[in-house]
Amino acid sequence: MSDQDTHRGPDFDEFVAAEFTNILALALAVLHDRDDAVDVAQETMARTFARWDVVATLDRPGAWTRRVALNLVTDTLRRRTRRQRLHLRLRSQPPSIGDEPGTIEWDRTFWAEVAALPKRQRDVVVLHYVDDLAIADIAAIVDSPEGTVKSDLSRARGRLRNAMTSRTRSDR
Amino acid sequence: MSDFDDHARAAGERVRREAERITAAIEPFESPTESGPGRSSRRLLAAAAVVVVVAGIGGLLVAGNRDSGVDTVSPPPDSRTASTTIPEPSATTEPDPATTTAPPTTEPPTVTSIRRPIVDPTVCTPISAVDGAPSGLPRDTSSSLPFTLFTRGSDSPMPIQIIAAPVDGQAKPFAVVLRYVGGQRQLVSPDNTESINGVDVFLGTYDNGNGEAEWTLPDGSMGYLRSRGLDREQLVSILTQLTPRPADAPIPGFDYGAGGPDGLALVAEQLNTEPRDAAFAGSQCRVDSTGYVYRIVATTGNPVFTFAMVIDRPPPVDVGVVGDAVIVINGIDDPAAPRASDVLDADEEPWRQLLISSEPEPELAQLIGGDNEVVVDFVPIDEASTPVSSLTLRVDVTDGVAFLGVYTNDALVAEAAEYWKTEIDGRMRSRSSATPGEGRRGAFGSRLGDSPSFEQLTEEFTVRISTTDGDDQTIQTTGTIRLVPTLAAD
Repeated sequence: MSDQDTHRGPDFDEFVAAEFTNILALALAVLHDRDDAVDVAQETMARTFARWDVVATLDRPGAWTRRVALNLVTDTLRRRTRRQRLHLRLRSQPPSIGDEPGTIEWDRTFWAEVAALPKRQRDVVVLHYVDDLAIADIAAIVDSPEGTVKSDLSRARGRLRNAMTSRTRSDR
Repeated sequence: MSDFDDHARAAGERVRREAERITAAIEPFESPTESGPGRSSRRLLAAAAVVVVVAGIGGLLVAGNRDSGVDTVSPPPDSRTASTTIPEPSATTEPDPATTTAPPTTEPPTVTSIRRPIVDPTVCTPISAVDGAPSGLPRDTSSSLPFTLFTRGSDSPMPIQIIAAPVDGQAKPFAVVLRYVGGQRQLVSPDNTESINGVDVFLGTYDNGNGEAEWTLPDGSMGYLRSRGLDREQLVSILTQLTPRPADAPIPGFDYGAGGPDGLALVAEQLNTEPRDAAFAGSQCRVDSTGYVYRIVATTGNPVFTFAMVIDRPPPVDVGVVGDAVIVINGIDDPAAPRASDVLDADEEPWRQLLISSEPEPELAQLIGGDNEVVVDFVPIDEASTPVSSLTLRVDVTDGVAFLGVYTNDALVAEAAEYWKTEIDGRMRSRSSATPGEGRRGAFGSRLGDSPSFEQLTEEFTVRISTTDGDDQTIQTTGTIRLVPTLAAD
């Protein structure tokens, strides 16, 4: 065992324990597929580990990791071929009335609309609504000024609100 | 905070809870101090495989049939129950390739078929109707049928075979079997196979009643099976009865033996390159008590197409067969949902009124020319897996001739896209190669109408820019954009 491994091992374990679920949630929100989301979270952690010597010295190692995860999410969306989309459809459930009336369908529609946003808006939305981060933290992750993040978030909200409203009208 | 924000935050919280549940199912990570980075990464990835297995175990069929007046395809709780819903098999289990394109259903002369499907208005109030594929679904340009995975044309012939009950099989448990040759396809889940008769098979059954299997044959071709309403044991039983035919057979799929699940036989087969003589019509209705909207489609004709319309779509609420028409209902699964037995054949005039109410509101026209460029959304046509991006349209005048320029810098071109297609006033005007990816600088153009110069362009025109795959199936599109030339051109 090298000194280097000894040094970075425990810190990395703590980092994974603290952040894995957060990263997984970001991926799950957009990809809406458990296996794909876990793949993204695992790959993110693997890449983080590979560069842990550097990442561990950053002020916000979690920000770097989130950026990696969001890029991997985008890559996964692009890689999904028509057949894979059909495969997801094969495994999907028909919407049904569960314990929380309307919630399942609302969530399904909402996350589908989020996935359809341009990348920058999509990243901002999931960091805001899933990771519950402040604008300053989001700005650090997406490497943009806070004003740009506010603008992106505002546009995305408007777009999502309109989409959800029109869907509700057409579905009801 | 607005209602929307409240909903969105709650949705985010639900995703976090789901992530916590998934994380809890993954075995603890091994400390990197005890292994090198490479091994550690493999450990991390191995943990992902554990989750996949957990998902597979949880995917056994659990839902039950709902009572109705027509045969349905809800997943059976076990194979014993399923077998009671399937009639005894017909004497013929293997069709003659020359005659198997005939529908597998029999049509008693007393049963009325359905060509204009609406739900009984006392059950669900009709809203609109479509003849042919509804807008938003990719269409076969020659037939107006909606494309499905199994009925899409292709340059690579692929056998499609249906194993089902010989009578009304679309409304009962069935399987579709494909065989891919020449490296058309790779295993989706090569790490999650099990051995069936000495062959490694990926086998999955899902809570919604669907199932699938895929395996590699000794000659390198691949078998792929997709099922509805069959449990794991029945799928294994079907797989053991499939014997690959020689590569030079007219339909080089599989022979199906007699030892499979009771009542199931090979009822239809064809190559995907063969014609699809089928018809499609649909309507939407709203249940007053719940406000939920349901989509009803009726398909007739080519049996492969009618089976595909059941399984190659979102899981249906109900499926039934009326005469030679296969009725599929999609929507919210609710006790008040309409059933296939509620579907009627509409009279001509009410149907015409429903068709008219389906016509979309025209978009407002936009000015183009000079400094007026038009930025339009570029939207994936079937699902939201490719983000919405944008295209910029300009009119460029070169040597006095006006061209419509399409600038793709802000476009995210889907992975499956192979061509750009430009339609002006409903006619295809250009087709060029597309490169998947984001932000690729580029443009392509089409001469505008027959006018030699932009100054002579005064009439409104429509434009539709799309990406398509090699089969001309639309992948992304701007939809139809109305443009009005402005005389403030340069």
